[in-house]
Amino acid sequence: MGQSRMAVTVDVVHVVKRYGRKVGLHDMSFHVAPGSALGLVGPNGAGKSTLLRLLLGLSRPTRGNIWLNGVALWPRPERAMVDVGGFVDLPRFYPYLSAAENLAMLADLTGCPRQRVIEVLQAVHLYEARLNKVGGFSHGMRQRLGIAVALLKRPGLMVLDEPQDGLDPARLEEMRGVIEQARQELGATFIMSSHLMQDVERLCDQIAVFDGGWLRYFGSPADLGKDRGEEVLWEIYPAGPAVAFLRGLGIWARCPSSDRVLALWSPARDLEEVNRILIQQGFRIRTVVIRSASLESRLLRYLGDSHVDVR
Amino acid sequence: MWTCVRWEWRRQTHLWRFWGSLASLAGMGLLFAYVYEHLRQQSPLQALVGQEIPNSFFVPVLAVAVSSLVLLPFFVTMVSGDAISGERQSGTWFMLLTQGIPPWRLYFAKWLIAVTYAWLAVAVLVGSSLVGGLALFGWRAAILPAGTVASSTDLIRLLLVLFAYCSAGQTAVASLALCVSAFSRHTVSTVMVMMGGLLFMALLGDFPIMPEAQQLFLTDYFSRAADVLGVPLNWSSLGRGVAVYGIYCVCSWLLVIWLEPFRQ
Repeated sequence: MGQSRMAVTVDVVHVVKRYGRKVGLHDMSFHVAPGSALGLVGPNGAGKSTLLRLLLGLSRPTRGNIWLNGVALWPRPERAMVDVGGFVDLPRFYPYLSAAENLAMLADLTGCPRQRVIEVLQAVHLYEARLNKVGGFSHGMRQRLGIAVALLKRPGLMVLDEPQDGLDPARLEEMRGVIEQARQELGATFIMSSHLMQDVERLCDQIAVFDGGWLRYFGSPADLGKDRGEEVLWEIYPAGPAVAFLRGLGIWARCPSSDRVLALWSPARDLEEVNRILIQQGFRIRTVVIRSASLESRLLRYLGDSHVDVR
Repeated sequence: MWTCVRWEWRRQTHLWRFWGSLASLAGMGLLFAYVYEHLRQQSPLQALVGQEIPNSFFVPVLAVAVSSLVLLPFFVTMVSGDAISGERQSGTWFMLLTQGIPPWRLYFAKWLIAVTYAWLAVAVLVGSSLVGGLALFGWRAAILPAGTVASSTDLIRLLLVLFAYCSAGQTAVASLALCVSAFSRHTVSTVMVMMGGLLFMALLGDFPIMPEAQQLFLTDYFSRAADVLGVPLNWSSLGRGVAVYGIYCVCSWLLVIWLEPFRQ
C-alpha cells in the first residue's frame, strides 16, 4: 500500500459550528498527534459528523479554525486538504461508472498515478469487481470503495464516518481488517467515528466523547471511567424490572438484550448479597459473569444515559 | 483545469438528457420546416417571416424566435442547472470536495461545458431547421420583413449572426442556471426557479406595464433573437443585446464569487 507522505498533526482550536439557532458544536479544542488514531464516539446528533465535515472541508466553522500540519483549513480548505482523504455519511459515486472508472476519474482530478487505482482496489478487496458498475454495488462494497477513495492520495490524515455502518458480521470483520491494514501500512493519522465500541477499542488509541455538541472526554479509551474496573452480566428474568430494581439499589445497570442485565461493579459491593436480594424479589437468575468493564459500559456510565445509541 | 473540463464533458455526455435534448431539438427543427408554411400565416409571426415566397432562411429565424424564450432555455437549464445541484443531490459533489479539488476549478469546468451545450443546442436547432427548410423550400434571395432584398450571401451572413446572437443569449441562460444550481440542493428547484424567472421576464416584456421594471430587468433582449436582423444589420441593437447578455453572465459570476455557495 505504501507509506503516506507524512502523518498529519490536527489542531482543533475553539471551533464552534452553528446551524441558525441550533449549535452543532460548542467551543471545541483538542490536538491529535501525528500517526495516532482517534475514535469519535457519542450518541446520534452529538456532533461527530459535524466535526468530520469540518475536517474534510465540507462545512465552514462559525468560529475558530482547524489546523492541519500548521496550515489553517479555512478559508481555503483545498490548500490544507492535499494530505487528507476520507468520507462522511455513505460514500457516493457515479452509479453509471465502474469502480475502476470512478477511482480513475478521481485519480486524474487529484493528480494521482493510475497505477494507484489498482493498488487501492486490491487493498479493499474490490479488484475482482473493478469493472462492475457502482450502481449495482452493495452497501458494504460502497463502504469499501469509499475507503479506497480515501486511500487514493496516500493521505497523511484519514477521516472516516462510521465505515462499518450497516454491514453484516462477515463484512464487518472484513472491513475491520481493511481499516487496520490501511492504518498500519499507511502510518497516517486516523480519525474515525463509530457506534461500535469494540472497533474503537481495537483500532483507536484515543477517543473523543461527544454529547450534545460538547466534547465531554478526550484521552485514552482505557482511562475513560477507569475507576469502574469490572462489570457484572446477569442472565436474568425479567430483565427490564431487574434493571429498575438494581438502579433503586444505587447500582448503574442497563439491559443490553431482553434477558440480560449488565451493571458496572464497584468492588465495595457484595455481589452475593445483591444476588440474594434479587432472588428474594422473585427474579430468576440463570448465570452471573464478572468481567472487565467494556468501553461501551464505561462510556454509557460516563454519559449517564442508558438510551445512548451504542451497539 | 482541463482534466476537470474533460471530466465534466464526460459526465454530461454520459447522461441521457444531454443527447436526448439535442435529438429533441433536431426533431423540432425539422418540425419547424414542416409547419413553416402554416405558421407564417399567423399574425404574430408575420412580422418576422411575412413574405410572399417561402424561403428556407426563414425556417431557422422562425425556430429561434419561437424557441429562444422558453424551449431553448428549458433544455439549457436542464443540463447546466443540474451541473452542481444534481451532483449535490446525489452526494458526488461532496466526494469531489473531500478530494481537495478547488471548487472554483469545478465551477469553471461546469460553466464551460454548460456554455458549450448552449451553443450546441442552438447549432442543432438552427442547423436542423435549415436542413428541413432547404429540403422543402430551397435557398434563394429573399425579401426581408422590412422590405429590403437580401442576396443569398447576405442570408448566410444573417444566419451566422442569428446563430451567434441566439447563442450569446443562451450563454447568459446557462450562466444564470449554473449560478442558481450552485445555491440549490435539487435540480428540480433549479429548473423551476429559472423557468419561473424567464416567464416572469417574458410577461414583463409582453405587457406594457412597469416600464421601469422592464428597463431594470432588461427583458426585451431575451425575445429579440430574430427581430434585430435586417439588411443592413442593426449593429447597435445587436451590440446592446450582446452587452446585456454579458451583464447577466458577469452578474451570475459575481454572485457566486461573493457568496461562495459550494460548501455548507
